[in-house]
Amino acid sequence: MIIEKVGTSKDIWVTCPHCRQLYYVERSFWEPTFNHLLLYCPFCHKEFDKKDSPKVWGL
Amino acid sequence: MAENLRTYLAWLEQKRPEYLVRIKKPIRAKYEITALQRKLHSINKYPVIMVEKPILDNGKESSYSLITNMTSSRDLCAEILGMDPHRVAMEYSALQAKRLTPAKVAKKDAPIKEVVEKGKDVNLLKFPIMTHNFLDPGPYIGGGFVSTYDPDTGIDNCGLQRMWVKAPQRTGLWALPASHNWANITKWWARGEDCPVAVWIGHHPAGLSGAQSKLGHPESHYASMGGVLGEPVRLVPTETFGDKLYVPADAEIVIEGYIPKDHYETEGPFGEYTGYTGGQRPCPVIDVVCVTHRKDAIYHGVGVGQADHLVFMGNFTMEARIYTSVKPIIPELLNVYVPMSGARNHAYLQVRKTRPGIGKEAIMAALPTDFRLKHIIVVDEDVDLFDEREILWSIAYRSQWDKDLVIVTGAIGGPCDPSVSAGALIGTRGGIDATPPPPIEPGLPRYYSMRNKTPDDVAARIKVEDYTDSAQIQKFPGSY
Repeated sequence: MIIEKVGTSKDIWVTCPHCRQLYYVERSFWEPTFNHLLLYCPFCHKEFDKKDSPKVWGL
Repeated sequence: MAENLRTYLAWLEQKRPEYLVRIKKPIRAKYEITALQRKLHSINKYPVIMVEKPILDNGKESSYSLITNMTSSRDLCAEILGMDPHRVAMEYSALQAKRLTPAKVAKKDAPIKEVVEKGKDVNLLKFPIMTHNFLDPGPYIGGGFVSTYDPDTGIDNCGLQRMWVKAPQRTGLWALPASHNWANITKWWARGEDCPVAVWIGHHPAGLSGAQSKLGHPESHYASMGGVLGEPVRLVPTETFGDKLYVPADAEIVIEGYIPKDHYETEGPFGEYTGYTGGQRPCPVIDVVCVTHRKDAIYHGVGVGQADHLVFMGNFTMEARIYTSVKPIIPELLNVYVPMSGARNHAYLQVRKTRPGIGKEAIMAALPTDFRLKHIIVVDEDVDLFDEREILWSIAYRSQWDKDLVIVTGAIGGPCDPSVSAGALIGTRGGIDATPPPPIEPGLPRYYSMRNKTPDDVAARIKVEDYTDSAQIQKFPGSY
């Protein structure tokens, strides 16, 4: 993956395992303090564990 | 009668009825009101919008009306404060310095206590809270002044901070880590306690602007709110925290609750003031225990990321702050404009270029006044500071970037700016000195090309109306 602008690495793109829509979350969800938090899909409004995301970009 | 949202509406209807649109048709709080604001923005129109029958997410008509776009017109906002819209930097800096000690009133004298709901009777979703953008996960309170207090001193603080309404009695809360509310929240948490919080919504726009003043910590915003409002703010104790935490007695809605210790939940994505939707993030929440409101409460929904959010609730304050900070260093500073187009990242400074170097000095003096200020453009006094075509023309013909740029790397970057690096939020900030050289000696012309200009006597004599009629002028095509 080519990151043209440094700032684009601020967000991680995830795929919702329920509806397969793409959106982005902050990198902080991969830090130990917040690693346990479930993500919330803004499209289908279901929670999911980021480990279940079929594809993740930007990590 | 004390100033409040109702007295403002009465003033508007009497003084500027053409600036107010009352929508009687049903319109949804989810997306539709924001879409209407954006359509109006696209034709450069910024009326105050009063929605009398907003439709809730459940499809039912809300029992409460909604006001939005209240602070989107620069001219109207300046008029509210009795100011010239082109002299806000100077006039607002004087007004912002005023402090009026609030007046404490009894509950019986506080309209905000007309309805008191506690515990399971609380239902935030009965209010027409707007969902703004396609990625927003739900309705967001964008016009709520989140109030906490410092547990050591008891001094309160309030700030406009976003709240996702996740359930009838729970909201998310994004308090910027640099904010004074965050300082209070973490102090409570360090003591092992949940943080008391009250959120007030709806007041006279002058009061809202005063409450947005940038102050030290801990320092109450209610005195500065009164200073801008022109009278002491009437305060009343909260239901839950009594005289530990006060709220404006004349507000429309107050939400009381606790921010549970060390508890984070997922929040966002949310379309922010930048015009970009920020990524989902971990945030604290508010467990709501009480709501008080007027019987016929008007919900104030701020059009986040739009003129409604930028012009009055941020830009006026920034202009005043820059002027106050830079003027003592560069006495030649004439004016400051923070344009809507830059979404708080840009500021235009106007100077009288009497000596070399003051363009860059002004940039360096202005940058630290607000961490969001990313690009400062300094122009000369012959430029119309409020016409962005002239700003760009100045850059085009009065700057050489190897000489006239100021670039500061490794500076604090805006947390909502997607071009800022992750982690430490480090960004690059700077400015362009787009001023021509000063005269070689006072009284002499500049050693620089002279602008095109019609002779003054001819310019004064020729009038468009003398050669066509006013109806036809309105139909002439524009250009860009």
